[in-house]
Amino acid sequence: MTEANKLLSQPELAKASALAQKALAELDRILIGRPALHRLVMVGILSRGHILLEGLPGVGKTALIKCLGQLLSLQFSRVQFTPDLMPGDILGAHILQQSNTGQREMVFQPGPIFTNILLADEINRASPKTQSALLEAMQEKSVTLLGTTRRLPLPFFVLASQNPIELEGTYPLPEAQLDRFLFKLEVASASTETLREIISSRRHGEPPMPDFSLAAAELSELFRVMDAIYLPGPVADYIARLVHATDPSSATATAQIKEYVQYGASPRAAIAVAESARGVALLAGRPSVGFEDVREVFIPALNHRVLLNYKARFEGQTSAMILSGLLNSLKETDLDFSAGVAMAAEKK
Amino acid sequence: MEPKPQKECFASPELAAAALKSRYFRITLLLCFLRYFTILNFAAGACFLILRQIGHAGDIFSAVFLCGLATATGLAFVAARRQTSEQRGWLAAIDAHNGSGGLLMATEETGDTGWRDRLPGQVEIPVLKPAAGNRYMSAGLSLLFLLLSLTIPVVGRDTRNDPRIELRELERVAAGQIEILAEEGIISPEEARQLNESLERIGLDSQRHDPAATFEALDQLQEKLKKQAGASVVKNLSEQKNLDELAELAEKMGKAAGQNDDQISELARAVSKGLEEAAGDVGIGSGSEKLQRALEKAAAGGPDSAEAAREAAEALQEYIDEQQAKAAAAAAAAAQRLASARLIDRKTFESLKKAGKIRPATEADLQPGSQSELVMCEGGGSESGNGQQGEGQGDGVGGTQTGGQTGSGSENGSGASGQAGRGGGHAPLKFNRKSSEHNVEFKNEVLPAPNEQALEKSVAIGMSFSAPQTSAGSGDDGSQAGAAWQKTSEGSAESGIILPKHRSAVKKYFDHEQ
Repeated sequence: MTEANKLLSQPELAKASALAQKALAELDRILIGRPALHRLVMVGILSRGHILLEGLPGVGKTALIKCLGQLLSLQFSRVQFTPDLMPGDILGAHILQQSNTGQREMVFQPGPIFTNILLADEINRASPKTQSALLEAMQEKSVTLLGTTRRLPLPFFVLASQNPIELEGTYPLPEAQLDRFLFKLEVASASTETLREIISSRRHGEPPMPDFSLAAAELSELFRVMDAIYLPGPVADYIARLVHATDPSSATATAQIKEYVQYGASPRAAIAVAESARGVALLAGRPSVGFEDVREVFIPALNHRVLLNYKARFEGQTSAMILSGLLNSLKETDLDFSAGVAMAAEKK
Repeated sequence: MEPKPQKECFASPELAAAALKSRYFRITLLLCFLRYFTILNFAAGACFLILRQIGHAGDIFSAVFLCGLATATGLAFVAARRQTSEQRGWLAAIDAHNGSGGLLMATEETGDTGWRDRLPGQVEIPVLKPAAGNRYMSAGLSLLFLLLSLTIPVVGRDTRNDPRIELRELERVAAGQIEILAEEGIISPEEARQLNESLERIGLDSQRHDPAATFEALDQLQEKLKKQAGASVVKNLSEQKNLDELAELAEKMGKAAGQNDDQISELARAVSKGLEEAAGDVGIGSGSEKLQRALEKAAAGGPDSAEAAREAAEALQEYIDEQQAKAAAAAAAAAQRLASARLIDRKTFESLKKAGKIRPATEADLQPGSQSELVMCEGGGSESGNGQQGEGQGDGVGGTQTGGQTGSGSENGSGASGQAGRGGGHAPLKFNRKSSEHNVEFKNEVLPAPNEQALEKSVAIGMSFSAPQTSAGSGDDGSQAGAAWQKTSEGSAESGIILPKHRSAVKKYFDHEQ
């Protein structure tokens, strides 16, 4: 048994898992009524991924991201995306300044992107040019301006919110941009009970301040534990088969995918699923990723990476519906039973 | 409702994986066997149908099928084994089923036992079910096909590859005749064996391209059998004749008692001699001791010879009556069996007729279910027939129909007593009576008008060669045509008529030529 193949010890995993659970519980306490969403957001943070929240105005997207910024006690910046926002407004710019010696020189003034958590509010209101300014930063955690590449502080998260693209004055994010987000999470309207609780317990809707925050060192420890979560071979194979099956030209693609999907998910999607599944395992206190972890994160990780054709839009098919069908049809294991042998679907 | 499959739990993941693998192997074995069994059945059924069609099916088929079954089982075993060994991920399936979150797989892959205590204590395995509904149905259908291929009659069987003639029916009849002759003691068991061998040889040596030789051989065999049967009947009749002569002597001896002593002695010696001859020829015993003593006393002459002659005459009469009763019963039974076996030839028939051993058929004999083939007169010809038609003669005697018209004789109408009831006998033709075999009635139908007059007015415009057209017997002349062959001038059944037996031979001959 090599060191690389060794599983995490129970005590260190328990400590990390408890920390993550505590942060999640705090998030649930501050923002009412969306534990599933909060759980996925926490998984996204643990996976060091960027998260895109989509929902109508006022449903609490920005509040969630702000709360997360407070909870993580990391450097936090907010950019309100507008149609006239320019890339330089985000990345920064070189400004001509006079030094103490009287010499004038171009000095780089970093933009709001040089932070740990960037809140890109209403990201789809900016023009594609400005949206594309985030591409390098999101993938490579660096910014290149005038031939000079500058590293962004780590960890670096982009937590973006966007209005549904059907709304007026929005620019849909290009596929390359979308692909860089780990999750695209739908923020639905709150339920009646949630609304009642909000208006009865929150004055002016202001959420309470968090009682607890994750220090940078604690977050680093969580990331270290995350990296040590074991991904078994059959689970990795399951992820690969799932992602490969989203390609309509694949032999394992479902009839729905063949009919409605124009382009399938990229390898980055498989990485995203694997990483986020590790986050789920960590929250569950397990040293290994199971099939159920993959199933939990598969749709949020892929629903913005699968490009549907016009027929799907015309017939009201969504990515989530198609991916759900794929999850139900593809077997978890690679047991290739001969025709006539069926495994009961019932699970313990 | 389908019963819920029982869950199985195991102490360790390894045991659970082994159990799951084993279960998969069993199910796969069943499915593979069903598949190969279905293929085997269809193939075997088709092969057997073809073999039956060309006339080569035999017992070897069972052996070949059993070998095929063993091969199918072996193939299924190998295929199931291969499919099972190729499968990977048994532990993953168990992990997924138990919701272990990858712990089972991770422990297996890394060998790290640090999380053993977090593994489930009892590992369940998923339920594998054979979804073989269609395969069961296919296998059932194939089995049905196989059974049908073994049982359904072959239509239009091509016997071109078989050089022999189909003689089964004829062989069966002949074998039955031989058996009856043997049972009646007419031929010895050794003779019966030889005859059977001859019969078998005829069948084996038969050639489709030369059926005449085979049928000639069969006819000769039949003639031989009939001769044997006839000899037996003649022997019985001879015994009867001897008894009649003895009866005549007894009567004379009785009359001569007290009148002429010399004649008494002479008659007594004649009776003794007749008894001895009868005993030597036909097996009649030499009488009782009382008869012997009376005969000796009468032959010796003297004062008591008249009394002895009367006693001898009485004893002799009793003895003759007894022997006649026995002989009549034996003769009737034997003749009945011989007639049933169609072993009475023309000559024998004449003998029986002359001896008054045949009576005309009655209405009861013609009823459906009647087993009468040749109606014998048990009372020595005392019954009289109706005398409407003559008896069948020649081969018609040995014909196949009861009271039929084949081989009908002359219409002399003499109707002597004890006429034959077969071969177109006296029985009235009633067309409204139901057929004894098929339980159907003749249909009254008006025949079409004759067209000879139209022919007289017709004009010949040409000639062509074609098969002769058979007339349905229309017109005055035509109406007689149907019965004309029955009324041949001599009343003989042998006057150029193709009998059914020979007709089939001729038909087979021409079928072969075609």
